[in-house]
Amino acid sequence: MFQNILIAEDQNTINKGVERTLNELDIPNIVTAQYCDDALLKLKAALQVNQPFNLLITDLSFKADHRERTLTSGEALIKAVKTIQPNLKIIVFSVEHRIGKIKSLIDTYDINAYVEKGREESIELKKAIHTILKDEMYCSHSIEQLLRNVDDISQTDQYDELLLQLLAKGLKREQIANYFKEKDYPARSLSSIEKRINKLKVLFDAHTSEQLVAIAIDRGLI
Amino acid sequence: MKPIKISFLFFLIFLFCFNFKSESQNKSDSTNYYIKLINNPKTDSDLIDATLYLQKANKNNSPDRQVYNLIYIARAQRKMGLIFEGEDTAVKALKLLDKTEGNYDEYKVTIYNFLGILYYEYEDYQSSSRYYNQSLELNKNSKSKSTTINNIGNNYKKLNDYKSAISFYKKSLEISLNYDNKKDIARALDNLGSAQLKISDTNALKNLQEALNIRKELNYQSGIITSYLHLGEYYKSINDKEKALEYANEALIIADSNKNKEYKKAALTFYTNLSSDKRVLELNKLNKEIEKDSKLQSNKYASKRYSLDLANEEINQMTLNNEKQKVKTTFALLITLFIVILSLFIFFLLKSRHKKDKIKQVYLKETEISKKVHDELANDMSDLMNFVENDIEVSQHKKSTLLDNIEDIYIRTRDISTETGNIDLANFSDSIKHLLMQHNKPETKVVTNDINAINWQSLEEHKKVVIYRCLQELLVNMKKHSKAKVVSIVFKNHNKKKEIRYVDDGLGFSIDETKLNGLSNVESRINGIGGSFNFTTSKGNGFKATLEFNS
Repeated sequence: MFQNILIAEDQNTINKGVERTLNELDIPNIVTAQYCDDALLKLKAALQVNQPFNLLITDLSFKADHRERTLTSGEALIKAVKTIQPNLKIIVFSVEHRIGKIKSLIDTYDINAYVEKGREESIELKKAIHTILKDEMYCSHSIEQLLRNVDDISQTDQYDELLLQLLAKGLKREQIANYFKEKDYPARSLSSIEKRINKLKVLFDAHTSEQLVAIAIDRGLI
Repeated sequence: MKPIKISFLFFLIFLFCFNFKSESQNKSDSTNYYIKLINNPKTDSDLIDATLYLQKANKNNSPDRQVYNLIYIARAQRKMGLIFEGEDTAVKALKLLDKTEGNYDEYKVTIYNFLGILYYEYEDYQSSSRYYNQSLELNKNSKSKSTTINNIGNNYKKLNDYKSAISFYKKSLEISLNYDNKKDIARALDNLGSAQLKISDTNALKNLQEALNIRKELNYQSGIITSYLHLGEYYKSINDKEKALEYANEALIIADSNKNKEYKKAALTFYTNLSSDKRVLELNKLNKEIEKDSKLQSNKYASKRYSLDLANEEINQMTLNNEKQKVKTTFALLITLFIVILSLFIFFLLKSRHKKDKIKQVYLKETEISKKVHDELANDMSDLMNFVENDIEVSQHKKSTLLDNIEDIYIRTRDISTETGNIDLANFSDSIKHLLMQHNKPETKVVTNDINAINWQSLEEHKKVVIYRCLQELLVNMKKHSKAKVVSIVFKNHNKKKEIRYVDDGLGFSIDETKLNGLSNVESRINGIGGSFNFTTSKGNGFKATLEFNS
């Protein structure tokens, strides 16, 4: 289990909630910081005395107030942390729901967990900590679903469009394959063409090639 | 070019005329050269060259220098027989002086004297005297006044008013005596004597003799000739032909030695006038008449040519003015046109900038609100949920209802924040991709072609914001109402024109029964960047929309 945990969160009540959750896990040393700059200082200080933090739980958004800030967001804090303590485990704990933002955090900073604030947050925090301990990545349930869809986003390419145009002209699959060969396009075998057509059918929920062409025209693809 | 014959009586006037101060001013060498040419022309073309040069040089001169040059131009014109032009030039010089600040009386004196001489030559003796009087009024140099006064005397003599002539000659003599100017004294005495002899004044001979003596002393040849001729005239008037002939001979000898044709002619004319041969006298009379006629003719011709020149110049001036007016009008028109175009351009520029600023401001305000909602409301809601979950003693059933409600509010709060959050405009195609991902669910597939089919780099930022918000609005609408299985968003690029086609196979809706709030938002947003929004839908037939805009 983690010994030293730092919580960066500007809202006191949330701080308390997280602390309470962590207490249930018997964490001996829990430190909180309400400003990103403070959090970074504490991390540095801990490194100095050779008692580094093992885990950082940080929010993404920090309110501006009277204090002048160098680091203004959780993302900036994470970036700074990665330069002084690259192997520090990080849980992002936020209401951020935009998948693009979350994905870029995961891709860019290699964060270890993303926990969405909400009804399930204390359960998910605990789950996240346990998962991280196993050196695995954790994401809140709702986010995980979204992330899974990210890879599923269906994008047609220029060959799909060309194929649909040729189909619309009434060419047979063999003719299309020949045309692809002539032009030296990739995936030009008959079976590849077949596969591509089937993929498009599934994509547009079409049952026949004729229907597919009609849908493609309707949707402005060709 | 027919030089006007100048009576040698006026020889002295020239000396006087050139004697003014400005000559000591700095002048360019060529100006000096040409002025010398005017004073002592060797040929007629010298005068033309000098006149042309001075006229050209005058364009860049200061007013006083212009007047100086004009005076010389007038003199040259007079020497060329262009007396009317000479007069005009002199008047021009006077007008210029009137417009120029400072005291230029000396110039004026010179010009008035010039005009006096000119009118004497016109034989308009009254006008001549008038100018001489004007000159006298301004002249501070009493020494030179004697010449002017003498000239006025000459005018009266020509008018046969010998008494008046005598009084002016006496005044001239008085001034000359004061200054002990021998030449002027002799001139005054000689003229006085010649006028006195006309009225048989007994002092005539004495004065003529004295003048001759002084002139002999000075060895002033042309003066001596004049004196001899006047003495001859005197003796002729008292019918002493022998003495008269004697003087005529003396005059002829000096004129001969001088090789001056004018003097010689005067001497010979006088000589022949003494002849007893009636035919010779008749010839002389005839010569005189012819000379007078020819002079009259030449004056008339000069006058006509001058008025013709004047008329031509007027016409030229008018044509020039017309041309100038035309150019001015065209210029004014062009300027006006330019200003109109410029203001239109600025107007549209400001309008478009204003639009841009508005979109940017809206975007900033949106993101600001989003952050507030996110930081304050959403966090508080989440906080509140935890509080209810852990710290409130209520029955389990009620607690779960309460929590459900709070969660609903929380999620809606978060969605507001999400929908108005900031957009990564630098990686815009990724931002769109993430937006599409957000709505890609197992039950709703989002299909797209190549997002980069549109060159987002070339799109201005405020337009990107609009496009993003429009797509977002369409997708949120879809999520709320449509239950679509496949949503397709196709990006097309036709040069400057961009097109985004949104199609879903959802429930669609009937336009009259549905709130079109979100869709009218889309329309007003895209209109704000000069784009257009069209959609078709009906119940059960999905929803199709096209966004069109220019980069």
